[in-house]
Amino acid sequence: MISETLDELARRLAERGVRGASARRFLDEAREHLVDAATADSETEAVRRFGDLDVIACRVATEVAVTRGRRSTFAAFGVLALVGIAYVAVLALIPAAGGWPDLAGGKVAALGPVTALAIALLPQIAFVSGCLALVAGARLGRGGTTSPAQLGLVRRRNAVALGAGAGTLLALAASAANTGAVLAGWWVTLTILLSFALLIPLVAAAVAVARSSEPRAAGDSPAGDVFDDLGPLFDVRPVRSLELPSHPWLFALLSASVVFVVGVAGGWYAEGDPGSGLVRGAFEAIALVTCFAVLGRTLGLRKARV
Amino acid sequence: VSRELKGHVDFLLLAVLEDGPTHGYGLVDELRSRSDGVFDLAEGTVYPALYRLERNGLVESSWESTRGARRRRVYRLSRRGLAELGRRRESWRQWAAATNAVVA
Repeated sequence: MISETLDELARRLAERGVRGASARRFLDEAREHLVDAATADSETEAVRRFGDLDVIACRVATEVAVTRGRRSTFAAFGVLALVGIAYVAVLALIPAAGGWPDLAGGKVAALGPVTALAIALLPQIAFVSGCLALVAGARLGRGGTTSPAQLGLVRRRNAVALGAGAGTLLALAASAANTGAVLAGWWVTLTILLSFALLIPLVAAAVAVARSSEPRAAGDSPAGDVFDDLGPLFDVRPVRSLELPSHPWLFALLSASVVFVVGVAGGWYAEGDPGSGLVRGAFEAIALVTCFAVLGRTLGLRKARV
Repeated sequence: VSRELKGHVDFLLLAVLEDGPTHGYGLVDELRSRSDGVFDLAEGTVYPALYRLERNGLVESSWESTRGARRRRVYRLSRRGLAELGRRRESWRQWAAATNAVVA
């Protein structure tokens, strides 16, 4: 009877996407448990006391889903941190490699502005999405049940972050190849090698994120949004009175205003020219509002339409 | 009781593990014994709870051979788990005292 119960348990776990080492560990423990219980009582009683197999399989699947969701998030963030370091290092070395080239100064003139836009925008999307995934990932499994909607949000944030990270690397490689005649050969080689080398762990992290969707958790809690993730920040008195969770676009415009001011100050300081600062600030603010419009629901910056 | 028990399983498991490492069956048995049979949970549900505690760093586990060829996954309280147990115990005492004061 114990053997049949374990077979049935394995089948129900598989139905919920729990296979491999996670399933084996639980089934081994369940076997030992049932053998102990049958020694103290009968096999029938041991199986009865073990509980409803569907409920147990469902709870195991939820815990495995949370564990994989968190692990894949930490892995993705770690890889994105490496990409970030490589990105900063490569850009910091440009002056030593011959200085910043003209936007349209490469072999293919039209490619310059496209890669420049990607190099400016995609790392920011990767950073914001990666941080949001990390915050939501760290919250998984803490305080009550975890639902498929919450796990799905973490996966979407990770996917956007990794996609933007991969886009950044490809844009860097394309830009290096395009400006090969203008910049030093060692910089071009280093940038292309580094970009493609980092694509390998990035793809591995993407596979881990995709595989985290295999165990099917149960529960009907809503996915939540950025206001749930950063709850305490929105609970400070002057911020609370704005009721930002009910007005996500106000939150977007306030964030864009802050980004605009920082962009103006940063551009002015870096270029020594207030006009350049204004252009940079405006670009950053417009980019933020555009990303909020395009990716807002995907990243849980505002609640999904019911 | 079983519905109320669900919200306290983690706390109760930590409390049982405070007395020393044990396997899943031992935990369930001890829980039932200490509560005079009142805490009689579906035994298989203790494992997902233990996985959750382990993931959060509150317990540690390893396979250990006992009595010849039998291998069991043995769980033990981590240092973090001990601290968490202390916090939950204090919180529980305050809640129980306040509830008693109101309903007794």
